[in-house]
Parts: sequence; structure tokens; C-alpha cells
Amino acid sequence: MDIGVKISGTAHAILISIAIFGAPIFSSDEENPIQISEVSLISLEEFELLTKENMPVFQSEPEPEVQEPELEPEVQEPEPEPEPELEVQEPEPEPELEVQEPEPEPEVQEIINESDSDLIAPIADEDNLGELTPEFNENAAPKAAEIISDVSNEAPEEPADIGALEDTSFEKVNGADEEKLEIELNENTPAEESTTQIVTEAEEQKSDLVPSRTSKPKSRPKNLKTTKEIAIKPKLKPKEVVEAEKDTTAESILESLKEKKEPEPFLNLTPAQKESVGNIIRNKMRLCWNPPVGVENGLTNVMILGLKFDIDGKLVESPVNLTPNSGVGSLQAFEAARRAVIRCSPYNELDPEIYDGWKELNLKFNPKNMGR
Amino acid sequence: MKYFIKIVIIGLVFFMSKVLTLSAETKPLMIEITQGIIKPMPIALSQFTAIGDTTPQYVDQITSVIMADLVGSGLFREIPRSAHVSANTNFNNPVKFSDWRVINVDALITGSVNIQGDKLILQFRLFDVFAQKPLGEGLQFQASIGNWRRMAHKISDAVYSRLTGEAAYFDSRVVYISEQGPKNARKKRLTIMDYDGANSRFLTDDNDIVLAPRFSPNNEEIVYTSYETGVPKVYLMNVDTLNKRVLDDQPGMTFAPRFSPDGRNVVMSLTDRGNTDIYSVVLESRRKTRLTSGPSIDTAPSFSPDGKQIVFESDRGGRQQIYIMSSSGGDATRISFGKGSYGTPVWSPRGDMIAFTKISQGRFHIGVMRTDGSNERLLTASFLDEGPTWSPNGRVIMFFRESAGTNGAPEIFSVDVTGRNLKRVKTIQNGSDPSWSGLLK
Repeated sequence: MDIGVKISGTAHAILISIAIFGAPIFSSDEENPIQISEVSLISLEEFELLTKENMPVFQSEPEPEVQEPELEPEVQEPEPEPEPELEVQEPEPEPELEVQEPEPEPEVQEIINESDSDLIAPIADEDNLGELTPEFNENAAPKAAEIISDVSNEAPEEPADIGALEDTSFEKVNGADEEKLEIELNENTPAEESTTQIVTEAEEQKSDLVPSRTSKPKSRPKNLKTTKEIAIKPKLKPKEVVEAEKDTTAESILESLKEKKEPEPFLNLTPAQKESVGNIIRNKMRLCWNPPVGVENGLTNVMILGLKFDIDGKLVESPVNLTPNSGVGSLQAFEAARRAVIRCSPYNELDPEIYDGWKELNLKFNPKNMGR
Repeated sequence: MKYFIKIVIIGLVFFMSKVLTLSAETKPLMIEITQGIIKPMPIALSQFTAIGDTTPQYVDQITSVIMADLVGSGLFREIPRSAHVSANTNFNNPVKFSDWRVINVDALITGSVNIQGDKLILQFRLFDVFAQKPLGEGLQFQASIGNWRRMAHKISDAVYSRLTGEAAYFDSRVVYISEQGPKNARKKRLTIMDYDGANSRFLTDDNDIVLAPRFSPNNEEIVYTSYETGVPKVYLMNVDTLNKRVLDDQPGMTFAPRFSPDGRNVVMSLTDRGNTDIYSVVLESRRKTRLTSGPSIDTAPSFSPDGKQIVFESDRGGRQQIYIMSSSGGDATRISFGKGSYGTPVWSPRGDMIAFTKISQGRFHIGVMRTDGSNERLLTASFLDEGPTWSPNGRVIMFFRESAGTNGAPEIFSVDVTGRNLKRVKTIQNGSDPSWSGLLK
């Protein structure tokens, strides 16, 4: 009997305890998913409301808010025209994404044309110097030349200190020139294709009224269909950052990057994906990297460069030297590696589907096996 | 107990969630690059701006010297002016990098030439076209017009150093033996010239046979061997005043001299009663110290850059080989062990290698090896290659090559330490026994 009582007592105690403690456990477990679902519900509701009004929800989300005040005014001018088109198409929530994407294209094209025309005009003026180079103008006319022409027009305004060079035998080149040159690089790297299109729209949206919403719905619906929030955020962030960087100067880029104190996690690439990215980069470097002469003379500096790309595989900023130690010839080794990276840009062979895995790369240039 | 288990389960769930969130990569993917291409760097020399009394011809002469220096090094390739998209009409105008990038220029040199009376002012800047940034500081050189070639070499040196990270060698001179006439009655004269063969000047007449001149560290004096008295003797000469004196007037033949790095001593070979050994002579006191002894022929001594060691050739092992000993003499260590004979070793100004002449299977070679004898590398091969001398930066070796036959004559060649860029150096006559100076100041 005692044993039966004990057994029944323990069984009851277990049941009672399960009734007491088990409920909160399950409830707690359920609370988490519920919270998540609530968020999704809220977002959907708000999304619908917002899609009608086009305003509020998106304001809470992203970051780009602060970064691009300066560029806004300039971009705003082209905006007013495309806006009405967006409003008409927006009322339909789901298709918005698909519809919105095609919309920006015409807008972008218009903007590009405008910018191009502005850029091209000064080039034609400056080309007066080179009557002998019509062939090059046609061939070279392509892309970077246009942007550079703007720079060249700007630079002359700041006079170079001729007198300073004459006074002494060793003088620095004007610092003003250097700054301009750096800006040129940033403008050139994003240049041509991707820069103006998405950038101008995104920036305008962020700055004034609703524009930010357009970028969000694009990404969200896709993500909602397939996966969860985690997938959404990484896609949105890099795009926004890249877009912002395209039209901003180097300084604004650095400021925007500094605002994010905590490094964003990178996508975990599978070994096969890592191998693919590595092979693409290595194959390009094989043709573009010309190590400094010291390599042949036993001088082998291993350099590490930090690179940041936009989703089109273009360099967002000038490569950064991450090499901890510097020795004889290390400066030239870095410059040679930098030339290789810039010369091989863009890296549009990289898969945009795994952009978060290669949006930043560190390249380790090791010439030890290239010398004798 | 149950409560404890629940707590444990909850803790595990919380821990696992943290682990999963932290499992994302926090550092960019690292990719190692081990393969590239080694080729001459494409560079362009923009048309220098002419200022003052400068004529276009003068500008062309100066720029041609600069480009000849750089391209002649074998490390750079010129993008010809005919391919240039834009021309700088003003030295201070900003560079249109796109115009240079489109023709694949890595580095661009811009400059100006300003002649005022007999004064010449050269300015230049160097740019990395792809990075769209200036490389280093803009420089200006000012001197009399007569030194225009040196000024052009100075610009070449600055560009070379900035782009390679190594010391340069263009603003330097070479002293050598000019030779003229048939082999059995050849006239030899001490001659000095710029490293590229320009500004040649005879230092002696052709009455006496002269051999093996060597520059002093300050580039103002040379030591050489002359048969002026009928017996080979080492002389010391100032290359500007041409004043000379015999270094050791004691009996015996002296030859194969070379300065110590501090310029205070000269090591040379002295043959006395059939035995040839290496001696060190203090220039100021003329005090002579014997560094080697024995019946073997010890000759061709050359100091290490720090002055602590001497490399020389000796047949003490039965065949000509290369040995290293302390600069104060004593035991020597053999460092050459390949097949054939080794001679005329010369220590690199960098201190890491030794150049030599090698005779193997009936052919002569100029080669280099590490100071411990490892990594021997033959750079040339011909009927007769001999007498290597290092450029001031230790990157290039100059030597002379004599062709076969009764009409054979010596010519001076240079070759990169890698064995590339073998080319003849222009001289006013046939030349032999070159000695490269240090970089001029």
C-alpha cells in the first residue's frame, strides 16, 4: 500500500507540477513565435495601410536617413516627373514590387541622360585641345572619360602653387589636387551603369517624402514569399548603403560607414560558393596584378587589401591597405595591388544572389612564388 | 527536479539561439592571390611644358633622356606620344586620368622646362593613373644648362625609386678602358662617361697600357693598373684634376686594386718573387698589410659593403675558386663549388650577392650567387664575358664581352640581375673593364 500511495503521490505530483510549470514553458515557447507572427501581422496591416497612404511604416526601418542630405536637393529636381507614375501603380499592393522595378528604369534613364549630357558637354570643350585625337574620342568616349572631364573642369579653378615649386627644390603637390583626385576615383568607380539609376531614386525617396517605401516593398514581398525577416534585412541594407554611396562623396561614404559601429554579419557562404568567389577574383588578378620589381630581387611584400563592392561588382571606394606591417617596398607593393584591383573592376562575374558574402572582401597578395 | 530541468532546457534554448545568431560571418572572406604577371610597367611621359626661353627641341632632348633611362632599365614600357589622347598644355593643369587610363598607362609623368639665361629649371610630377593620385611629391631641379643631362637623370632616378621602391642608378658614371686597334697592338685609354655612354672623356693618352680602373666611394678618384714604368703598378688618379700617383713604389707588380667602402684603404694584389697575395694599403700613410699568404695566386679582392669581409679568387684548391675572408686577413672560406673556374668576384652594394665570372666547358659566363655560395645563377654565356661591376643600386651588372677571331673586340654590356634586359652600352670606342660609380650627389 505504501508503495502504491507513493507511486500515486509522485504521479499526481508530476501531473500537478506539469500543470503548473508546463503551461508557462509552452506558453513561453509559443510566445516567441507569436511575437514574431505579430510583427508580421503588424507589418502586413501597416503595410496595406501604408501602401494606400504610402507613408509611415517605412520611416521606422532603415538607416540611410542621415547620410544623404546634401545630395537630396540636386536629385529632387528630376523626381517630380516620375512620382505621378508611381502613385498610379502603387494602389495594388502585391504587384507593386514587380511594377515598381520597371518604373525606376525609365526614371533612371532620364537622369542618366541628363547627367551624361552635362558631363559630355565639357568634354567636348576640352577636347578642342586634341584635334589629332578624334579616333580616341570616339573610342574612349565611353564611360569614365565623361566623369573625369567634370573633374578636370573643376580642378583648374583651384590654382596650383607654381611659385611654391620655384622657391625650393622640393615641394609637395597641391593638397587640393589630391583631394579632388580622390573624389574623382569614387565617382569613377561607381560611374557608368549602376550609379545613377537606383541611387538617385533611393536618395530622393529617403530625403523628402515617401521614396524609401519604394525600395522596401521591392525587397519585402520577395522575402515574404520565400523566407523570413532575416533574409529581408541583409538585402535591404546593402542595397541602400550601396545606393547611397554611389552618389555621395568619399567623405559621406566614410561617415555613413562609421555610423554603423557594429560590423554587419556577412552571409555564410558554402565552401563551394567561397571557392567560386575566390576563383573569379584569382582569375582576374592573374591578368591584372603586376607586382613591383622587387619581387624578382627577393623583395616579397605580402599585402592585404580591403575591398568593398556594390551589387554590380564595382568598387565602392578605393581599396584600403590592411597590411599590419610595412617594410621596404611595401608602399609600391600596395600600389601595385591597388592598380590591379582597380584595373580589373568591375567584378560583375560575382553572383548577386550571394552579394552579402562578397560585398566586402579581403585580398591577400602574396608574390613569393612569382620571383625566382 | 522538474523545475531544474526546465531551467536547464530554457537555458539551452537561449544558448543555442545565441550560438546560431553568432554563427554568421563577422569578417570578410579572405582570398589569397599568388599569381599575377611580371611585365614592364606601361608609363607615359606627357609633353613637358616649355617656359621662358625654352625651345621645343630642348624639351624633346630632356624628355627623351628621361624615357631612355626608364625604358632602358627594362622595367618600364613607354606608351608612345602618338597614342596619347590628351596633351598637357600647362604643367599645373589637372590631369585627365581617363585619357591616360584608356590607353592603359599605369604611371604618368608631367613636367615643365624653364630656361632663364643659362639657368635651367625642371619640374615634374608623377601620377598613378588607375588610383588617380599623385605618387609622392612634385620635384624641382635647378642648375646650369650644361648639366641638363644630369638633371634629366635625376628625374629618372626619382621616378624609378618611387615606382619600384628601390634605389636608382641613372645619375652615375662609368670608368672603363677604351680600346682601339688590332689585338696584338691595341691602344688602351682610361675613359669616363655617363652610365648611358654620354659625355665620354679620356683620362689618359694611349701611350701606356692601362687596366682595371675602379671608382672610389666618393666618385672623385679612381685606382687603376698602368704599365707606365714598364711594370704593372697601381695608380691613384683624381678624375677632375687628372693628378695621379703610384700607390706602392716598392718592388713587385701590383694590380687588381679596389677601394674599401670608407675610401681610406685600397686592397690589391702584389706579386713578389713569383708569389701573388692580397695586400691592404692605407692611402694616407701608404702602410701596407699582407692579408693572404701561401704559394697560390690570390687576387681580385672586393670588400663587402660593411667593410668587414673581402671576397677574392684563389687557386689554392688547385683551380680558380671564390673565397671569403675577414678584411684583416686570416682563414678564408670557399663559397664556389660548381663545375668550372670562378674569378673576378664583386660584392653587391646591397651586400646580399656576389657577381663573378665563370669559365665552364669553354664558355664564359657572368653570374651571381649569394654570399654563402648558394643560389648560383648564370646570367650570360658567350665566347668571353668578364669583369662584372654593379650598378649603385645592385640591380644591374655591367661587364665586357669580347668577340672571337682576329678581328674580335671588346664591348661593354649590361644585364639585369635577373638575367633579363641584356644590352650593349654605347661607347665611343671599343671598351672593357667597366667600373660603375656610386650615385652622384
